[in-house]
Amino acid sequence: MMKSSLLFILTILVLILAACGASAGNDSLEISDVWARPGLADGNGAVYFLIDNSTGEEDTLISASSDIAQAVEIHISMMDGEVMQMKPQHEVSIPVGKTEFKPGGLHVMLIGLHDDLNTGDNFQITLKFQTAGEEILEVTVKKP
Amino acid sequence: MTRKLFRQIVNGLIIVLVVFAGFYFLAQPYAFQGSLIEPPLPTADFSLKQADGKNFRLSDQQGKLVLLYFGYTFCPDVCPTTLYDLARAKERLGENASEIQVLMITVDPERDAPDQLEKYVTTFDPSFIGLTGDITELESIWSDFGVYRKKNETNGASGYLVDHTSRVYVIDRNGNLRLTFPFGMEFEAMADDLAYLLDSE
Ligand SMILES: [Cu+2]
Repeated sequence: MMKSSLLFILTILVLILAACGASAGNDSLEISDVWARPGLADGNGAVYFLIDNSTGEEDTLISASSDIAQAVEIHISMMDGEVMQMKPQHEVSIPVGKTEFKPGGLHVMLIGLHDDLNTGDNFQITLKFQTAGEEILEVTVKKP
Repeated sequence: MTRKLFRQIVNGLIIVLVVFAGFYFLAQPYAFQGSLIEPPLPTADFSLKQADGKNFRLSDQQGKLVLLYFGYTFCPDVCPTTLYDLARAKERLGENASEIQVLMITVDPERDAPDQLEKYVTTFDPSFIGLTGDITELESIWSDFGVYRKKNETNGASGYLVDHTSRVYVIDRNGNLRLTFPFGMEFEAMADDLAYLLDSE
């Protein structure tokens, strides 16, 4: 009698741990390789990173902010034939898998930098996702 | 005995093959990785004021390879990517690097003041030159080089953005348009093309 209830409790414990483990391991939006190129005070900058969405569901990036510049927007550069265009994006869908913000593509644009950004500097930006909420990123300034 | 003979024959064949392959590759003309302009196209000369007040005249550069790019300092993504790659391509040329002059002519004269342009381009390489002028001067240069350039208003903090041709124009030592590099071309490939042009002309 004692033995079987102990076994029951143990089984429940194992199940709970397994569930927690699964959510901690998979249910996440991982953002890595966060960098910005050097920039000049009053000029603009761009931040790049890699998002790995393993939540099992699509999320949406709805805004980006930082106190490093007067304004922060999400932009995309794209080629139309020979012509390069840059367009602000209200939101960016983040499907399951990898979404790369990279030169010549999606980037977080820093408009009106308060100071020069020099190689080796660090600063923070905050990304806001529909489902995952806010993610604070540590940005390193470097040459590509 | 037969094994030794066999090995000698194989070795002989390998040597013959290597020699033929060598001749074959030497006989191939150099294949440019950028887009070659054949025959080279004479460029229309232009003259614009530099930040220090001096006049920059394209025809004064003869003897150097001029790498001409049309961009703007407000652009934080594509223009810096290109200028950084040009700086790396130039650096890769080693002692021949001084025979390259990189120029950026603005597509955004309203926002790009001469000193701001100079500060921006020299962050990539101290020898780079940024040029602006009045709109009529610039429009005639844009049209001479077939540059597309269009202002687009945005309702965000950018005010407006400028769509622009993203190619780099390579003007040879005689002032002719010889080659263009598309956006995203590897800097090593650019350096190869430039080294060939410097060697062959
Ligand atoms: Cu942008």
